[in-house]
Amino acid sequence: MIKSSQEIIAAAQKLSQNGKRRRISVAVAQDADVLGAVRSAYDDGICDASLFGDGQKIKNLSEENQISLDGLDVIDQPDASKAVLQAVELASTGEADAVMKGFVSTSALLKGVLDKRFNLRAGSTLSHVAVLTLPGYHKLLMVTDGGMIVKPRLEQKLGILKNAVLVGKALGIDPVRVALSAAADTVIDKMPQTKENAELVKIVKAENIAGCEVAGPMSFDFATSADVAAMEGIDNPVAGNADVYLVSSIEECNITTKSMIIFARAIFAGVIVGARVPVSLVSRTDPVIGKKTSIALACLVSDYYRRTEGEG
Amino acid sequence: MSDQIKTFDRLVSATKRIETSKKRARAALVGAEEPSYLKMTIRAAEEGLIEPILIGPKNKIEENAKANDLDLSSLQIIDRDSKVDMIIETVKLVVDDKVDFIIRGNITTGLMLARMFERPNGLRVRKNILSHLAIFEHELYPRLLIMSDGGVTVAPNIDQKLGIILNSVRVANMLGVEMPRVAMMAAVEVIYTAMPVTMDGAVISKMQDKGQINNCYIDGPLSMDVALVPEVAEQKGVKSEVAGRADIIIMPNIETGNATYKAMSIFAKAKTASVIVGGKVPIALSSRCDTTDNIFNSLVLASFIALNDK
Repeated sequence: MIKSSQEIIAAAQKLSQNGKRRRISVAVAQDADVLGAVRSAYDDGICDASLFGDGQKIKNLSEENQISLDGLDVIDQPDASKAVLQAVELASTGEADAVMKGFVSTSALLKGVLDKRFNLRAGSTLSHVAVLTLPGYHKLLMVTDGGMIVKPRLEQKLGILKNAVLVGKALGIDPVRVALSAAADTVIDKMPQTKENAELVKIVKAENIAGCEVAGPMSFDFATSADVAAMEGIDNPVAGNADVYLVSSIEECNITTKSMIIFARAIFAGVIVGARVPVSLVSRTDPVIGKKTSIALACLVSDYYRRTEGEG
Repeated sequence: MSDQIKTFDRLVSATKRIETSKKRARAALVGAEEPSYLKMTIRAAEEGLIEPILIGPKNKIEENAKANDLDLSSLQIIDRDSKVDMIIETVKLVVDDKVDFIIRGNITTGLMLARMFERPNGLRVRKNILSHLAIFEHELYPRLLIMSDGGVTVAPNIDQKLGIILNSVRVANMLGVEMPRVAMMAAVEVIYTAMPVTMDGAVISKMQDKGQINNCYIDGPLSMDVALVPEVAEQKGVKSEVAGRADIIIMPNIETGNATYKAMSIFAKAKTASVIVGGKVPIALSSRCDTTDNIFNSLVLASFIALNDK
């Protein structure tokens, strides 16, 4: 079971050493931060990369920022929407294992990923999973969804949960313990989120998802603090031990996660799952270690897809 | 701004200073048998910060005091067994001007608020909204950070957010921040029609531009890092009075406020205090994940607000 950002990177390096080096396909690669992240991932033996974009701009950026392009494939395609399609196509043929967002909006990139021609749709919800290396917590903490769905409906939450469980499994976590968030631990009429999550627990249990333990509604401290879990003394396999904190709005995810990044010095990595290949995106404001971890995470998720292909 | 209070230590000394000119804040501890609250209430009394009245089952209060080596000899105890009776007694003490603030001991916030603020003789103040307000002190932030609302209004609308801002600005003013910087929190710092939270933030920010809200700066929507980290504000090109240096962050819903508070307490190891404001008197409370020091901070904050209100 992988427990930290360092271990995520090490696991991706191990894939490379075992002859399973991943290749990421970067859409519209003329972005200095993305180039820098890809460069350091390449240098660290995490992955290979194919850069689709404006060749001249990529070259200029590499010179201005002293980012060498040695060893990276650059495919010149000045038209951004075509660059997206080519990047996605490479992943659809299996030559690349993950798609990475460059100088293009997330929605334009995902439109390409979901283009029917490429057969990368998996028929489920697309969601973003934040994977935090959180000092003071005994393992990784995933928080989702902070990027794709503003306020998920019940059935979308089920898709978000399945995606998070998949990332958990790719990280070697078994069972993946999922806490459904709320501001309370019981159903309270005035808090619709508590009711919805109590219902979601029933649905998930009825679906009998392998390798997943779910509980909710649960407040953050009940989900993540062993002390609080012991204080409550309730027999709950998730209490104080959550792998996933599944929230109910994009704000809940984004703000809570950032509070841990800013004040608890958490290292953030993220990946979009729900298609047949993972989609990686890094933010300009992520530190180098976070960007590298995000890329390594996408590699691990894609390896998990390959290993479980055909298992349905 | 030299007298701005930037730490809880300063808050304690400021509270003591007010007390030399006015009376000490008198407090009712409801559900006084709860050991941590009993301990911190007595600590605050011994430090000369408050004059408490203990309300709860007398035998249990005495039992827990003994178990924790606490001296009750100089304290008034009102012996009540049922929670409802404790609440009735507390409301009476406030209405009769016998106490200046309330400390929530062994009683749930939900029950307490429902009963204390019911009409006609409750503790509600007309036009005011009740709100939960937390204060963080953290080594990575150069001032106290006020966060609201993590405990009362589940999904505040614009009017309720205005009430929450008003309550927060009052407390910031008391802390010596003359023109507090208020950030309307969202997942992004731009306006998307598909994200109603960003629209609310924008409307409120515009109301401030139009002079409809005074005594503070407001910017919204802002994401957490743009609101609090100057480098990120700069990288993202957000220039405002608020970006990178907020005094107050207004949360979009109770779940976000609640989880943020707990993450700050458990993982960021922030010093915290939390109170409910907007009623006739402030209520000190804390979360089960709080340290006893944080419970103490909450008592001090509530007494500080109560003394400023007098």
